[in-house]
Amino acid sequence: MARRSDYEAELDAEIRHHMELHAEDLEAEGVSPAEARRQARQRFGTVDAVKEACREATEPAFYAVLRDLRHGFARLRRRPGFTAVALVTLAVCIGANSAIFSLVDAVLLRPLPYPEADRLARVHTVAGPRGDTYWGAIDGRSWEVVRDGVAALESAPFSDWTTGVNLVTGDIGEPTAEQSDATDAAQVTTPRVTHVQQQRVGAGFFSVLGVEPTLGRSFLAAEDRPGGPAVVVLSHALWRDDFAADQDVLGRRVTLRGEPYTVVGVMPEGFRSTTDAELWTPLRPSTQGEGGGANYGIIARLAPDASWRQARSQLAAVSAGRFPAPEAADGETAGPGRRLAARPLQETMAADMRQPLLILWMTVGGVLLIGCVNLAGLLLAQGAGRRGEIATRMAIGGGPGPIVRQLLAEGLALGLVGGAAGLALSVLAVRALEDHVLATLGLTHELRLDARVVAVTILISVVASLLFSAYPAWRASRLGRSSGGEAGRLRAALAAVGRTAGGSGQAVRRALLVAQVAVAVVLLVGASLLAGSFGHLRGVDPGFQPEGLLAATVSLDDANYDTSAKVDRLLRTSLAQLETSGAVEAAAVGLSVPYERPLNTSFRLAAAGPDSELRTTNLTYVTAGYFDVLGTPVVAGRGLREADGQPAATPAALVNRAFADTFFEGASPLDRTLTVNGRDWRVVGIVGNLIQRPGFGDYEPVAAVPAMYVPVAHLSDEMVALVHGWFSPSWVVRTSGASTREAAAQAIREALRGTAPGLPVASLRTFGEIRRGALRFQWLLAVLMTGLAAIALLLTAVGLAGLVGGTVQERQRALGISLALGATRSRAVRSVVLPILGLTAVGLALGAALGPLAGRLLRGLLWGVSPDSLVTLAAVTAGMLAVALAAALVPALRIAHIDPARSLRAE
Amino acid sequence: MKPADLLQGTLDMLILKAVSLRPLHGYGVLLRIQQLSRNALEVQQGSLYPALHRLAKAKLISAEWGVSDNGRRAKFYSLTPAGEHRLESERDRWRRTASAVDRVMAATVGDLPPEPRGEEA
Repeated sequence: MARRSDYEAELDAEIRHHMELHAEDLEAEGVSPAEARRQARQRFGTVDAVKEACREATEPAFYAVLRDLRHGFARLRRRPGFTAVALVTLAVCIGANSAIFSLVDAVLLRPLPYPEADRLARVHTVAGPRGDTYWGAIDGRSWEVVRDGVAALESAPFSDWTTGVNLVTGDIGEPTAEQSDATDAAQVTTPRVTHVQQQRVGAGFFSVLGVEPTLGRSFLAAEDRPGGPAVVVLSHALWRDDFAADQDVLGRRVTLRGEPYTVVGVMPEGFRSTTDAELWTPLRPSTQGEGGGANYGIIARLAPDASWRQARSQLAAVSAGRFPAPEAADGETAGPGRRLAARPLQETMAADMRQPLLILWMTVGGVLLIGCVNLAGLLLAQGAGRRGEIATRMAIGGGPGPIVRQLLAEGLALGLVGGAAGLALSVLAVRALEDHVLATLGLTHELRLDARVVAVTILISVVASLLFSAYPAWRASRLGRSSGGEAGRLRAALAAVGRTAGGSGQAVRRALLVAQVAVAVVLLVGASLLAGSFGHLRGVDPGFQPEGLLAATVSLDDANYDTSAKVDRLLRTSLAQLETSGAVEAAAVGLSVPYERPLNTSFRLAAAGPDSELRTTNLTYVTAGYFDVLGTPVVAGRGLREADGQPAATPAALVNRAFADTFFEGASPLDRTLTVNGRDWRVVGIVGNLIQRPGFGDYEPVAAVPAMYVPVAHLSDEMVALVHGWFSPSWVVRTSGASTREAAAQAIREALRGTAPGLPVASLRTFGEIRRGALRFQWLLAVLMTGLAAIALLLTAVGLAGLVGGTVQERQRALGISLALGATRSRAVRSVVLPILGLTAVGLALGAALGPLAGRLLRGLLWGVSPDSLVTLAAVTAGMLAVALAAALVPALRIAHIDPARSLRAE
Repeated sequence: MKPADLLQGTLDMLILKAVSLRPLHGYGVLLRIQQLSRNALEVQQGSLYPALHRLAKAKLISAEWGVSDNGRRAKFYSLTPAGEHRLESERDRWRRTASAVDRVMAATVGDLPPEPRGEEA
């Protein structure tokens, strides 16, 4: 840099010296000193321009670019109108890209927060051919086989689900620190009960992940055995919030699920498990009970000196032993049967999100392209007006190179400022959506603005700058070259007559309009399909009356309620209490409620014999009044009665219509017997379908699935304990007309507190909220796509209006003349608008042809709408045409104000 | 006669020639070209210094600060060996162009190619 300032000083001296000499010569000819100096300066020319040209001729390219950039920023400040429009366009386009990228980064790209995460995998039971695999859960025997037979993997079992459980901190009778300070004596012995999310994991789980507890230790093998000591590891957040970050927390006794547990460890801050959990207890895997079914997952780390190939072959070997190959039918080769396979952990965490995120990314890319075309159009229009300036520069120094470089630098300046604004916008947008997005996408990382996102945003800004300024820069340099001398004068004369200038690159700009319209149409089709799909799912007949209903969920995963008799008593007494409240019209309890994912179980038709095929159905226990409270009709037979809950009664069950249709195909299931886990149930009635989240099979995200409903009294104790480890039942309450939600909530809490102390209400929701939770992913996707498509539409309309306005401007004189010669205003308007609308129509046709491609891409995400929907296509096309018409007519109305007389005079 | 506009390549060539005879500063180059052309060529002052600096960067001429006749500090340019080569090749090119133009301008009817005849029998 010091060299440059030397150079500047020298250049200055050289030029001054030149002018001094010249002035001296003029003085020698008799000119006065002052006049001589003036003449010398005048004859030299613009000193600044010459200095610029000298600098350009000598400085290395890098400084030239920097200087051009500085000029570019200054130029932006001088033209606030243009800059404002351009900035808003860029900020929106780049901001959207940046926001979506931070999503993609958090979900797909950022490495998992575990050491050497690329050596981590999950082992699944896999069924189906490669490429169409279903990655299923693991059962107890498979776990043992993997543990013992696959030396290449260090593995640990875990439960993929978290369960809501009740944590009591502070021993009952022993006041905790904060309670000692309480003045209310009645509170001293009341412990604090909170509902927390618990994950059960095997002893090696944390060490496989590579994260050790920051306090204490993780589970020992002895604790991970059925009947082993009851220990718990806390998450950092729980330790901070519920245990006041007590350093002496190790060895503390708490009550979890109604049983005493000892705290043995605390995980570090920021540690996230495979799901969002607040504390961990030992899994105690077995091959019975839950281990008899596929309810575990296996997390594995490649052993230090092993390879994936070794791991895969060892897995294949143990699979052959565990799952003997199916018999091949005559003449057919048996497809791959069930087997155990490993899948990289990063992939499993993001599996569902990959396709929707990539679709969103492509969408914002399309929006950015549309915006860049608009900006290119703005720059082209500007370039025509800068002809003189450019010609001067080119005449002085170096040819088209520096001009192009300068114009590109101006574009880059605009792009960088736009990118900064876009980054700010995206931060705001992400913050606004963060809660929705985090819950919906289940992210392991928080969404945050980090170096990667900033770097990618800068990259996008630079690429966009090149896109929108390359052609205008090239165009302007060509104009400049032919502006000097004879050619320039001729061209200027032609422009004066008002020929629409191919000379200002408008032809290319018009062609690009076609592309813009096509892209906008495709995006709108995609958004409409997704919105339609969401609308369909939201509008599916739920099979009950949701108005006025509240659902209070309580975890019964508790040692105090470990038999079906105890649970049955709790349900009876709490309902009896609830019904005495004025706020409650009717109440019932169900293990799962509509819109939730219920328990799956397998069953047999008793009549088909003990070796017949096992089928799958949902199973829910309910109290007698459940369907009355929900408002679901009993379509055949009878509902459940109180009497059905008596121990002496024959176990009775209800099935829904979907069950009857699926398994009985028209015949009536009434009085048939179903065998579930060795117990026979007699079907006494058929109820209407309730909408659920299916846990199996090929259904929509919410659908009516075959279901069985039984009273809890006849379920075995083991079954009850098992299901409460996965599901928390809900008290469903129909509030009486006059009462508020608060009053009903209060009544529920009191009833439960009275009959089941120590069981806090985990959540209290209306079915509107439950439905929103069930469909939040579809909602998020529809909202994002619609927003982006709307932006694309707006940008295209603005670009179109700009084109029309620009044409009116250019041809102002010609239009004025034609008006003076007798053309009607409407004819003048048509002459300007129709060609552009013609281009729009071409774009529409192109977009309509490509629209079905978008539909096909979205196929896996669409429910209840056809990807090829002609109605959607037609609606989008018509809408786009209407918008284009409006966008074209508004600027064309300026033609009404052209004064023909003035045009003639100016000739 | 009005001085003709000089193309950039021609200006470079003239500058090289001017400093080849004796090291000059910028104003001196201007005067020298004017003088050698007998006032037929007048360099546009604004184009001079960018050209000088460009040629200096390309190492065709070298610059040195010295003292001019009237005792002031001035930057003097002189020809480098590379510049000599360039001067030679530019001069050859100019000669070729000039004689080609001359040939066109000296043409007579007799130099035209035979025209194709209409309607042959």
